[in-house]
Amino acid sequence: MNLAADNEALRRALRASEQKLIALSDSYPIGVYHCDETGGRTYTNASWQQIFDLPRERALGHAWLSAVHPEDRAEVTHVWQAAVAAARGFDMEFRIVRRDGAVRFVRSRARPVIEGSAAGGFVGALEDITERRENVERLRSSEAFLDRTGRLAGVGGWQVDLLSGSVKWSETTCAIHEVGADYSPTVDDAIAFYKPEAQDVIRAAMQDALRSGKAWDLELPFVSAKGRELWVRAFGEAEYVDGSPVRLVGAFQDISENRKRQKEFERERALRLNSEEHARDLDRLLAERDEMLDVLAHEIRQPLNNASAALQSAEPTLREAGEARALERVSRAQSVLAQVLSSIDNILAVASLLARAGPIDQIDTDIDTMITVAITDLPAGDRLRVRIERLTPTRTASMDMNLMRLAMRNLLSNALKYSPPGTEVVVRVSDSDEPLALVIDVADAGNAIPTEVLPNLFDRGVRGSHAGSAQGHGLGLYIVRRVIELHQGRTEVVRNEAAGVTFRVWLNQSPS
Amino acid sequence: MLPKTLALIDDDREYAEFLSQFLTEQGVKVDLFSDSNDLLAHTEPYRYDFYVVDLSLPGVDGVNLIRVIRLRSAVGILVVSGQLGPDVFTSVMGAGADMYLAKPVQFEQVAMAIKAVQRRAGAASVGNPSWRLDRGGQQLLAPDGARVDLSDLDLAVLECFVNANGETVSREQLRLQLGHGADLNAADSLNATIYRLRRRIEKATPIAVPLQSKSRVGYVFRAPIQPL
Repeated sequence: MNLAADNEALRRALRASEQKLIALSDSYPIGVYHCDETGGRTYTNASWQQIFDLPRERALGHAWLSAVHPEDRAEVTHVWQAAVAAARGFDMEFRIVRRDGAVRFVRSRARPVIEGSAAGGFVGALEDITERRENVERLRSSEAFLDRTGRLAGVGGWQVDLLSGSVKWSETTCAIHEVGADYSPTVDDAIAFYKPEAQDVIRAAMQDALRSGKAWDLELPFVSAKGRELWVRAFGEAEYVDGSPVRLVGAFQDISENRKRQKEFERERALRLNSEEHARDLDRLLAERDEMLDVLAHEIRQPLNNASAALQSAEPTLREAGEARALERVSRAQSVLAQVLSSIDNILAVASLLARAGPIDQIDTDIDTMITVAITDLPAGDRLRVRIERLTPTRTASMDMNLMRLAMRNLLSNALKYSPPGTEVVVRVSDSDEPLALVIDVADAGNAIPTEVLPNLFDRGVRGSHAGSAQGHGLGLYIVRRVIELHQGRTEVVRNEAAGVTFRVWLNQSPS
Repeated sequence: MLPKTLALIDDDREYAEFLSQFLTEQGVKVDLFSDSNDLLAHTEPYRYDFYVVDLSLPGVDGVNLIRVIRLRSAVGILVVSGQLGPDVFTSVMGAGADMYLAKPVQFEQVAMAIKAVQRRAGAASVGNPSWRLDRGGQQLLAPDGARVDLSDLDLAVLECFVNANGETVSREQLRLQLGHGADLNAADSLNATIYRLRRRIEKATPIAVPLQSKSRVGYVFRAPIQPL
């Protein structure tokens, strides 16, 4: 072999190797360059040219420096000179401006090629890091956003790096714990903020999350660093990489106010439900009571009345037939029925008619009709004892006739009951101008009412103390008082003597 | 005076039959209906001189029946019912009944009530001589010639009824009328004024006074009244 041939072969091999290297370098996704000690590029690959947006023919020499962002150029030059002077590598980020004006962030790393003791040049790699930087920027701003919203919503974040064991709290999390923003707890420190009874709960939840990947969402009692007792809501879950947990992340919220409000709401709700239940019970009882009253009115009172009507219609027949003894018995039966009926009437009146608060509707009523109807309610034998004395020709007054009939009947029964048999009971009708009223007196010849009874005479349940007068429920005079009250009038005893008692009712005729 | 014919609408057969018998003995021709629909289906349901109505009825209920009758007839309507409850009275009178008599009742009591309604209705019947208002002499002349002295206020009230020509005068109208120049102050309510006036007329004459209140609405003078 001769030398020339050897050289030729060697050169060919070298060129082939160079070609291969260039091809390899051009296919490399990272910019690769070589430069001399002045920074002049002596080699760049395709990626480098693409990043710098320089065509191959301008990619050598110092053209690249003019593509560096004007604001970064001084810094880049400075780093470069320092690296050359110290013969060491560098790693810097700067901006370049492309021909179309687009700004790109690049990272340039290089190390010196040592020739003897001085840097004979540098080989370096160039990366376009614009996207990565934007992502980081975006991430930073979205973290700031999260942090801000978290602060506003009172929700803090936290994370535990399971590999290093470090715990990170967001500002809000620190604020809820009432510790400084630089506070750096361990997991055990963090758990210690929970009340003792809650510590096992949170610990178990964390372990469960690590084992099974289950997230937790708990409301737990908590004591801040300053000793404030709070309720917090703790969310958390484990993050996995390749099937193993690497991090615990979560959120943290002070819910004491919510809880307080919730508690109050629940209490109110319970109270409301309770009173609604009560009202339903009462309604049911009232409905039952009304039903019973209805039974009393229609199934007892009315048939009794019909029986009384049958007896009444038998009377003329008996009279015609001269059946004096039968007639007497029939009228005794009538009298008993009348008493029973008026008792039932009183009970129904108290339970139903008089229970209202008023006011009542009053209409023009014929006074004599009202009084005569009331007298006719009395047992036939008693009716003859009643005499009407008119001190005024006034015939019409405003009233509720049926309520007044009830009041009159009770005044009359009372008078008849407490006065000697056969004595007269007088109904006296007169006028009053001041106040404008119709005045009705019922006067009997009975004994005086004992003075100790007088103050409560018109109360419910007060009965006369006469021997043999125990019957009745003490409803009579109470009904009188209530009826007259509903007419905005007044009831009183105007005469109370051994020779007799006089009750007076004032039926107001200028009601408001 | 009892009416010549009477419709008794009541589903309590026992009571209704006894009452019907009683009224028939008094000379009234009574038709008994135990279902209000039976009355309405009758050939001439509105030709009766008087109606005695129960409230709890099969068919149209009592209050509505009263309303129906009142739209077609001005005769007396007496309600005889055992219905409890505080509002019954108001609704019955509002529907146009003349009187409400609570059960239980005896037949004489029904008769008394019918007569009382008839007396009042009689004052309103057509053909009666007119009441006259003597403005100069400040007097009201009753059909029987009795003279009633009137205050300025009374005169103003009666002028309202002359103008109303048998129609109801509302409480508002009366208040408005009396408020001008009359000495109607707060203490002397409209009710009181009417009551005093009627009382004065009743003292002067035994004739039924046609000055009647309409429940919650106003007053009506149910007889002809003219200036002298």
